[in-house]
Amino acid sequence: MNDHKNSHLVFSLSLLLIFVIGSFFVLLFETKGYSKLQDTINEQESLYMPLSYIQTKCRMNDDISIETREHIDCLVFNQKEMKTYLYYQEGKLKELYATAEYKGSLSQGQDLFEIDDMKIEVSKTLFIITIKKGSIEKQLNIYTTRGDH
Amino acid sequence: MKNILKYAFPIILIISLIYGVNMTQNYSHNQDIKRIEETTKRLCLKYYSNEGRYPHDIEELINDYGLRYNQQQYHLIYHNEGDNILPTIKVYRKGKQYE
Repeated sequence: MNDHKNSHLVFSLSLLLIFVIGSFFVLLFETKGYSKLQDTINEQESLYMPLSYIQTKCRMNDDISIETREHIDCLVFNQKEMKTYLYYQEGKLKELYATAEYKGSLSQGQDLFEIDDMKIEVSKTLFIITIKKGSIEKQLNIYTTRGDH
Repeated sequence: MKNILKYAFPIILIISLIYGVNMTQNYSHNQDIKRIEETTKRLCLKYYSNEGRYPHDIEELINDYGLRYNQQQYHLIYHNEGDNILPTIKVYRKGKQYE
Protein backbone atom coordinates (compact mmCIF):
# COMPACT_ATOMS: atom_id res chain seq x y z
CA MET A 1 0.00 0.00 0.00
CA ASN A 2 2.85 2.30 1.05
CA ASP A 3 4.85 1.36 -2.08
CA HIS A 4 1.88 2.16 -4.24
CA LYS A 5 1.51 5.55 -2.59
CA ASN A 6 5.23 6.30 -3.07
CA SER A 7 5.23 5.36 -6.74
CA HIS A 8 2.16 7.54 -7.25
CA LEU A 9 4.00 10.48 -5.64
CA VAL A 10 7.14 9.88 -7.73
CA PHE A 11 5.01 9.72 -10.88
CA SER A 12 3.24 12.99 -10.04
CA LEU A 13 6.53 14.73 -9.23
CA SER A 14 8.09 13.43 -12.47
CA LEU A 15 5.16 14.81 -14.44
CA LEU A 16 5.53 18.15 -12.70
CA LEU A 17 9.27 18.13 -13.40
CA ILE A 18 8.71 17.38 -17.09
CA PHE A 19 6.14 20.21 -17.21
CA VAL A 20 8.54 22.66 -15.52
CA ILE A 21 11.47 21.69 -17.81
CA GLY A 22 9.21 21.91 -20.86
CA SER A 23 7.94 25.35 -19.83
CA PHE A 24 11.50 26.49 -19.22
CA PHE A 25 12.60 25.49 -22.72
CA VAL A 26 9.51 27.01 -24.35
CA LEU A 27 10.24 30.27 -22.49
CA LEU A 28 13.91 30.11 -23.47
CA PHE A 29 13.12 29.64 -27.17
CA GLU A 30 10.46 32.36 -27.07
CA THR A 31 12.92 34.78 -25.46
CA LYS A 32 15.62 33.95 -28.01
CA GLY A 33 13.16 34.36 -30.88
CA TYR A 34 11.90 37.66 -29.52
CA SER A 35 15.38 39.10 -28.95
CA LYS A 36 16.42 38.01 -32.45
CA LEU A 37 13.38 39.76 -33.91
CA GLN A 38 14.12 42.83 -31.80
CA ASP A 39 17.75 42.85 -32.99
CA THR A 40 16.65 42.63 -36.63
CA ILE A 41 14.16 45.49 -36.16
CA ASN A 42 16.79 47.60 -34.36
CA GLU A 43 19.41 46.88 -36.99
CA GLN A 44 17.05 47.78 -39.80
CA GLU A 45 15.82 50.90 -38.07
CA SER A 46 19.33 52.03 -37.22
CA LEU A 47 20.22 51.69 -40.90
CA TYR A 48 17.09 53.13 -42.50
CA MET A 49 16.79 56.08 -40.11
CA PRO A 50 20.13 57.67 -41.12
CA LEU A 51 19.35 57.10 -44.81
CA SER A 52 15.90 58.57 -44.41
CA TYR A 53 17.40 61.51 -42.51
CA ILE A 54 19.96 62.22 -45.25
CA GLN A 55 17.28 61.89 -47.92
CA THR A 56 15.03 64.41 -46.16
CA LYS A 57 17.98 66.74 -45.62
CA CYS A 58 18.73 66.60 -49.36
CA ARG A 59 15.06 67.16 -50.17
CA MET A 60 14.97 70.27 -48.00
CA ASN A 61 18.15 71.78 -49.48
CA ASP A 62 18.76 72.46 -53.16
CA ASP A 63 22.40 73.44 -52.93
CA ILE A 64 24.41 70.33 -52.04
CA SER A 65 28.14 69.82 -52.43
CA ILE A 66 31.01 67.72 -51.13
CA GLU A 67 33.91 69.09 -49.13
CA THR A 68 36.88 67.28 -47.65
CA ARG A 69 37.88 68.57 -44.24
CA GLU A 70 40.32 66.90 -41.85
CA HIS A 71 40.55 64.03 -44.40
CA ILE A 72 36.81 63.40 -44.00
CA ASP A 73 34.36 63.66 -46.88
CA CYS A 74 31.45 65.86 -45.83
CA LEU A 75 28.11 66.29 -47.49
CA VAL A 76 27.53 70.05 -47.37
CA PHE A 77 24.16 71.76 -47.51
CA ASN A 78 24.72 75.38 -48.42
CA GLN A 79 22.34 78.02 -47.17
CA LYS A 80 22.68 81.81 -47.53
CA GLU A 81 25.14 82.44 -44.71
CA MET A 82 25.25 79.07 -43.06
CA LYS A 83 26.42 75.59 -43.99
CA THR A 84 25.39 72.22 -42.63
CA TYR A 85 28.07 69.53 -42.73
CA LEU A 86 27.00 65.90 -42.57
CA TYR A 87 29.83 63.42 -42.11
CA TYR A 88 31.00 60.19 -40.52
CA GLN A 89 33.40 60.42 -37.62
CA GLU A 90 34.37 57.94 -34.88
CA GLY A 91 31.48 55.53 -35.39
CA LYS A 92 28.84 58.23 -35.66
CA LEU A 93 27.00 60.17 -38.32
CA LYS A 94 27.50 63.76 -37.25
CA GLU A 95 26.13 67.12 -38.20
CA LEU A 96 27.73 70.52 -37.88
CA TYR A 97 25.74 73.68 -38.44
CA ALA A 98 28.10 76.59 -38.91
CA THR A 99 28.72 79.85 -40.70
CA ALA A 100 30.19 79.62 -44.19
CA GLU A 101 33.53 80.95 -42.90
CA TYR A 102 33.77 78.44 -40.06
CA LYS A 103 37.22 76.84 -39.93
CA GLY A 104 36.87 74.96 -36.65
CA SER A 105 37.12 71.26 -36.03
CA LEU A 106 34.57 68.70 -37.18
CA SER A 107 34.64 67.15 -33.72
CA GLN A 108 32.38 70.04 -32.64
CA GLY A 109 29.49 68.48 -34.56
CA GLN A 110 26.47 66.86 -32.95
CA ASP A 111 26.13 63.08 -32.86
CA LEU A 112 23.09 61.89 -34.81
CA PHE A 113 23.22 58.13 -35.41
CA GLU A 114 25.56 55.30 -34.60
CA ILE A 115 26.76 53.74 -37.85
CA ASP A 116 29.83 51.76 -38.86
CA ASP A 117 30.80 53.58 -42.05
CA MET A 118 29.62 56.13 -44.60
CA LYS A 119 30.98 56.67 -48.08
CA ILE A 120 30.04 59.54 -50.36
CA GLU A 121 30.64 59.32 -54.09
CA VAL A 122 29.64 61.88 -56.65
CA SER A 123 29.30 61.67 -60.38
CA LYS A 124 28.02 64.83 -62.09
CA THR A 125 24.54 65.31 -60.66
CA LEU A 126 24.34 62.01 -58.82
CA PHE A 127 25.33 61.57 -55.19
CA ILE A 128 25.80 57.99 -54.04
CA ILE A 129 25.78 57.65 -50.27
CA THR A 130 26.54 54.24 -48.78
CA ILE A 131 25.92 53.55 -45.12
CA LYS A 132 27.13 50.46 -43.31
CA LYS A 133 25.77 49.18 -40.03
CA GLY A 134 26.92 45.80 -38.80
CA SER A 135 26.97 43.44 -41.74
CA ILE A 136 24.33 45.34 -43.73
CA GLU A 137 25.12 48.02 -46.27
CA LYS A 138 22.56 50.29 -47.95
CA GLN A 139 22.90 52.80 -50.71
CA LEU A 140 21.08 56.05 -51.32
CA ASN A 141 21.15 57.70 -54.74
CA ILE A 142 20.31 61.37 -54.93
CA TYR A 143 20.03 63.31 -58.15
CA THR A 144 20.45 67.04 -57.87
CA THR A 145 19.58 69.72 -60.36
CA ARG A 146 22.94 71.43 -59.95
CA GLY A 147 25.91 70.11 -61.89
CA ASP A 148 28.80 72.05 -60.33
CA HIS A 149 30.05 70.03 -57.37
CA MET B 1 34.66 46.06 23.74
CA LYS B 2 32.24 43.25 23.10
CA ASN B 3 29.32 45.63 23.69
CA ILE B 4 30.69 48.19 21.29
CA LEU B 5 31.03 45.57 18.59
CA LYS B 6 27.55 44.31 19.37
CA TYR B 7 26.04 47.75 18.62
CA ALA B 8 28.49 48.90 15.97
CA PHE B 9 27.89 46.01 13.61
CA PRO B 10 24.11 46.57 13.14
CA ILE B 11 24.64 50.34 12.87
CA ILE B 12 27.29 49.93 10.16
CA LEU B 13 25.05 47.42 8.41
CA ILE B 14 22.06 49.80 8.45
CA ILE B 15 24.20 52.76 7.27
CA SER B 16 25.67 50.66 4.43
CA LEU B 17 22.19 49.50 3.48
CA ILE B 18 20.82 53.07 3.37
CA TYR B 19 23.88 54.24 1.45
CA GLY B 20 23.53 51.34 -1.01
CA VAL B 21 19.82 52.01 -1.60
CA ASN B 22 20.56 55.71 -2.08
CA MET B 23 23.33 54.98 -4.57
CA THR B 24 21.09 52.59 -6.50
CA GLN B 25 18.30 55.16 -6.64
CA ASN B 26 20.68 57.86 -7.89
CA TYR B 27 22.05 55.51 -10.53
CA SER B 28 18.54 54.56 -11.61
CA HIS B 29 17.50 58.24 -11.87
CA ASN B 30 20.61 59.11 -13.90
CA GLN B 31 19.92 56.20 -16.25
CA ASP B 32 16.29 57.36 -16.60
CA ILE B 33 17.43 60.89 -17.46
CA LYS B 34 19.86 59.55 -20.07
CA ARG B 35 17.20 57.27 -21.53
CA ILE B 36 14.59 60.05 -21.80
CA GLU B 37 17.12 62.37 -23.46
CA GLU B 38 18.20 59.70 -25.95
CA THR B 39 14.63 58.65 -26.76
CA THR B 40 13.53 62.27 -27.29
CA LYS B 41 16.50 62.93 -29.56
CA ARG B 42 15.85 59.73 -31.55
CA LEU B 43 12.19 60.67 -31.98
CA CYS B 44 13.18 64.19 -33.06
CA LEU B 45 15.40 62.71 -35.77
CA LYS B 46 12.61 60.36 -36.80
CA TYR B 47 10.20 63.30 -36.90
CA TYR B 48 12.62 65.25 -39.10
CA SER B 49 13.10 62.27 -41.42
CA ASN B 50 9.35 62.01 -41.91
CA GLU B 51 8.17 65.61 -41.81
CA GLY B 52 11.19 67.55 -43.08
CA ARG B 53 11.33 69.74 -39.99
CA TYR B 54 11.96 69.35 -36.28
CA PRO B 55 8.93 69.42 -33.96
CA HIS B 56 8.05 72.90 -32.72
CA ASP B 57 7.32 71.69 -29.20
CA ILE B 58 7.43 68.55 -27.14
CA GLU B 59 3.65 68.12 -27.40
CA GLU B 60 4.06 67.15 -31.07
CA LEU B 61 6.32 64.28 -30.06
CA ILE B 62 4.01 63.24 -27.25
CA ASN B 63 0.85 63.33 -29.37
CA ASP B 64 2.13 62.12 -32.74
CA TYR B 65 5.19 60.00 -31.98
CA GLY B 66 4.19 58.41 -28.68
CA LEU B 67 6.84 59.93 -26.44
CA ARG B 68 6.15 58.89 -22.85
CA TYR B 69 8.06 59.81 -19.70
CA ASN B 70 7.25 60.32 -16.05
CA GLN B 71 6.15 63.95 -16.10
CA GLN B 72 5.64 64.03 -12.36
CA GLN B 73 9.23 63.04 -11.70
CA TYR B 74 11.14 64.57 -14.60
CA HIS B 75 11.16 67.95 -16.24
CA LEU B 76 11.97 67.99 -19.96
CA ILE B 77 13.33 71.19 -21.46
CA TYR B 78 12.86 71.31 -25.21
CA HIS B 79 14.15 74.27 -27.14
CA ASN B 80 13.42 74.43 -30.84
CA GLU B 81 16.05 76.48 -32.63
CA GLY B 82 14.61 76.29 -36.13
CA ASP B 83 13.07 73.85 -38.54
CA ASN B 84 16.45 72.64 -39.71
CA ILE B 85 18.49 72.58 -36.49
CA LEU B 86 18.49 69.77 -33.94
CA PRO B 87 16.64 71.05 -30.85
CA THR B 88 18.28 71.35 -27.45
CA ILE B 89 16.95 68.65 -25.13
CA LYS B 90 17.64 68.55 -21.41
CA VAL B 91 16.01 66.43 -18.74
CA TYR B 92 16.07 67.24 -15.03
CA ARG B 93 14.72 65.47 -12.01
CA LYS B 94 12.05 67.56 -10.33
CA GLY B 95 12.96 68.87 -6.92
CA LYS B 96 16.63 69.19 -7.81
CA GLN B 97 18.39 72.44 -8.59
CA TYR B 98 18.87 73.16 -12.27
CA GLU B 99 22.58 72.94 -13.24
